[in-house]
Amino acid sequence: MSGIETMGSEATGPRMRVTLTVNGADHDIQLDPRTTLLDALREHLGLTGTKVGCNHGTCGACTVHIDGRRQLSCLMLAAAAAGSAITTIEGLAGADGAPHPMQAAFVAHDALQCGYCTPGQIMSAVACVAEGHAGSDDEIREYMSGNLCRCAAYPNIVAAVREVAGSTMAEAA
Amino acid sequence: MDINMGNGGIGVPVVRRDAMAKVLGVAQYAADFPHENTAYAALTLSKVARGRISRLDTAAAEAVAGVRMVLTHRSLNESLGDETFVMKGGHMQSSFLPLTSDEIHYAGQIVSLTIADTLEAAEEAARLVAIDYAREAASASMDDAGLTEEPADSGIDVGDAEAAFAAAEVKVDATYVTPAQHHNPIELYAASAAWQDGKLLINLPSQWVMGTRAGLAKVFGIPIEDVHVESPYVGGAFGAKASILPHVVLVAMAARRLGRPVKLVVPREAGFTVGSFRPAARSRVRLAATRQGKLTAVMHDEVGQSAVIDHVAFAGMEATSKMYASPNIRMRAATVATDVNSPGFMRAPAEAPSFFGFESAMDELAVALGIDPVELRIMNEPARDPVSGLPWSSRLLVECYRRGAALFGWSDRNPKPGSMVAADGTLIGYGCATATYPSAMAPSSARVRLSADGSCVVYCAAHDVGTGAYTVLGQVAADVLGVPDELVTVEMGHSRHPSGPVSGGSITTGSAGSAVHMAARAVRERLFATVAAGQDRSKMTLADRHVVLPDGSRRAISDIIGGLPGGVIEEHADWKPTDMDDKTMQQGLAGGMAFAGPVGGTHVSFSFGAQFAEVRIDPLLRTIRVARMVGVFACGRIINPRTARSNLMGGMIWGASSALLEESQIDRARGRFANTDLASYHFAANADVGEVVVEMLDEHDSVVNAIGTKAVGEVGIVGMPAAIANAVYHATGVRVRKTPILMEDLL
Ligand code: FES
Ligand code: FES
Repeated sequence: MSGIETMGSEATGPRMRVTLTVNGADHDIQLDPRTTLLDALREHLGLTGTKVGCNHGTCGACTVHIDGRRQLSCLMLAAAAAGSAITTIEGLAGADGAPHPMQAAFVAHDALQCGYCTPGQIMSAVACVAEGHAGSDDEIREYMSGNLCRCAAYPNIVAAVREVAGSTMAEAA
Repeated sequence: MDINMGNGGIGVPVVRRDAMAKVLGVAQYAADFPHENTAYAALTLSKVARGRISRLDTAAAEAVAGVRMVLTHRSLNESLGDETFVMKGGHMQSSFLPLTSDEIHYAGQIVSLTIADTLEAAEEAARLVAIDYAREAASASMDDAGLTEEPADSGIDVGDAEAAFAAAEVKVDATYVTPAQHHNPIELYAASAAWQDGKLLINLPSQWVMGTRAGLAKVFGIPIEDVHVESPYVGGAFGAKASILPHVVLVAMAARRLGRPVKLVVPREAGFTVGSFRPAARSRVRLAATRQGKLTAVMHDEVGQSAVIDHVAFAGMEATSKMYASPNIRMRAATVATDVNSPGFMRAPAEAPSFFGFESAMDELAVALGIDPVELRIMNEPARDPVSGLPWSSRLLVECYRRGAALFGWSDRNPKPGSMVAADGTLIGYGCATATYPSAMAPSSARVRLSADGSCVVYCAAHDVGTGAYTVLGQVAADVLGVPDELVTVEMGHSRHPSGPVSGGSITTGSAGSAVHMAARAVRERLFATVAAGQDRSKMTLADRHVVLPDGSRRAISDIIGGLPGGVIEEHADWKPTDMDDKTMQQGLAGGMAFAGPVGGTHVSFSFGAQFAEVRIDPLLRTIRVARMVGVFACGRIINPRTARSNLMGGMIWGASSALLEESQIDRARGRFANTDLASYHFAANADVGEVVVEMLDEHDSVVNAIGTKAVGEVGIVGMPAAIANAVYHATGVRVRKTPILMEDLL
């Protein structure tokens, strides 16, 4: 696999070298081969915008994009993400720093309370629109149900996704 | 009370101050703070529910490359200060601290903490800690045979309810049960501890930084000033993060011994027993009425699950006894001790389970009387608190019902069960229930600084757990100082700030908000005194960053403050609820639990709401969907209708989730929680939620506190489970007296 180099065990346990391409930048890191992409992002690269809510693929807080598709980073080994383009919540804003329209819509619709599920919701929401799964409120609810929100901001999340989906479709038309 | 509208002040739907940081992913939660050279911790939990550790072997764990320490009851071996359970006046989640003995009191108890250079090594080693147990029989369910009910010391008695009930023309006598539930905030419990020169810095998600500081100082025997608790953002709490969880002490201890920062993120499964939970409860409700629908007796007997290690009691009688006018009221409570981790506060701890039974019984009474359930409640509206005889500081429950019924379309309801059917055969049911929550208050401090450029900073060790406190507290200051919202900054969630109260019991806005109001007014007084000594200050106002003098002339704040030494005006305030003595206030400000209300010397203060639900039930499969919910609330002055609405809406969805989905199932044979992950502990996902309509009445309460606010955070959940159960009855004619209400209950 490209970008991976296995190394011998040290006093600190097994290590390997991996190159991860995150938000357009390459990062060369040494890590335990068992490290998940989630932990690599958070603990090795300091990209703590991606959150951890279960480590088991049940909450969606850790959602990132791998080559444009949504992926639960807790269910993927970091090594398996080498060679792919990884996008996290930190990489969603424009080059000028302006928030992504989905980020702006979440603010406008108060689609968050504690904010902990929010990065995952937004990564899922961007993908949901791109997949063409935001055609109706019911469809949005269904395709956003992999991202749990214990604060239950759901109706406002649906409103935010609906707004962005609407303007995306208007642009396409 | 001088409220100035606009300008980002009180009553304006200002955008959540912390929203942009959260959507950009830059808001730092507890586990997001980097510490140089951090070691990672992992937990090992007890597999049995009661007994002793008979063999412990850590050799294999210690042999894993990168492991630095395996902390067990053998190696802990250090006496920790006598800090105690939060409900006994301390700050701990439990009075039992794991690793202080070889005893096992509940399944999932921490039996070791393993520290390694990497998270992966720590987790591998934690699995290799070998433990045998001398197991004893355990009961984790209060329904287990042989357990006894322990009656509470006091109940509530007005008149002779038993006699009135016996003599009544129409009566209801039913028992309702609710299960254990877990908060499951999306942010996991976590702690990062770092020691420097004998001082402890701890990052953890906290609803109570001042209490955590006081508690940890006691545990480690160090001065309170040497503990720094940092928790600027909390990823959901709901009561789970109000006390010091045991892992926090163990992580801090490991960090001190290793001389290196240690971080632990508690796995989801472990969170079910490392933290607290909502205990199971049983309510017997007896209601009696005249044929015309006037209540003659109200009786409520509640039994709650408690723990052997800590006595915990959450009876809702303080609230249910105050709901309706009745000459005869009798309330009793009892607990059953079980072998579980200590139960704790979970959103409306007493009220949510209690109102499921109580408001279901009111619906049963309406059916027995043949009276509309909304009208039955309105007919029995009490002019004063039926228990104390005191007036309400404000109570617009009837108005909530009238407005809610109109919004919901209640008049379309055919009262006959099973009579409303959609074209495709779907059964439709309408139900309603009352919600209430006490408006208590705690002492709080705050500091407000106004600079020459008109910018304003509010400091308070309160917390925004998703409720909107960052936004709301700033609005209170902006209102007094006439400052536009974009010039306001709010700093919270750190123990270095002026003391703030625990963010529990829906008290933050009323308590911390009153302190901010007081500090901001002190700033304004100094501004007025500076600009025009000797003039009549009561005739001066502040607007648009100018002081308006009695003669109408204006002086820019920048000129006034610019001329002062330091270029700022800064004032500190210590706010005390009415009816609280100074000693209690000082205890509260020092990080102790100090509440006043909801029953004061002259008034009784509660928030109220009327909640409505429409359910749709498949005629064959019996699947239940909540198509619509309407909630109309009277919570005093609403500082920010935008954040308050979201909070109430979240509460209503919690109520629906509780009604139809949530239960911490107990494996009775093994005495443990069985569904300890989010794949099997179900709570509402996006697709479970239909339309939610929230309205807040314009209520003025001049008694409750200086800014006229009442409780918002918890009232939203309280009536919803009963409203849904009542709607299910209306749709099907089947009365389900337990939650969650499942399809098999309707077969
Ligand atoms: S942390 Fe990945 S799905 Fe929950
Ligand atoms: S905003 Fe708190 S979990 Fe979604």
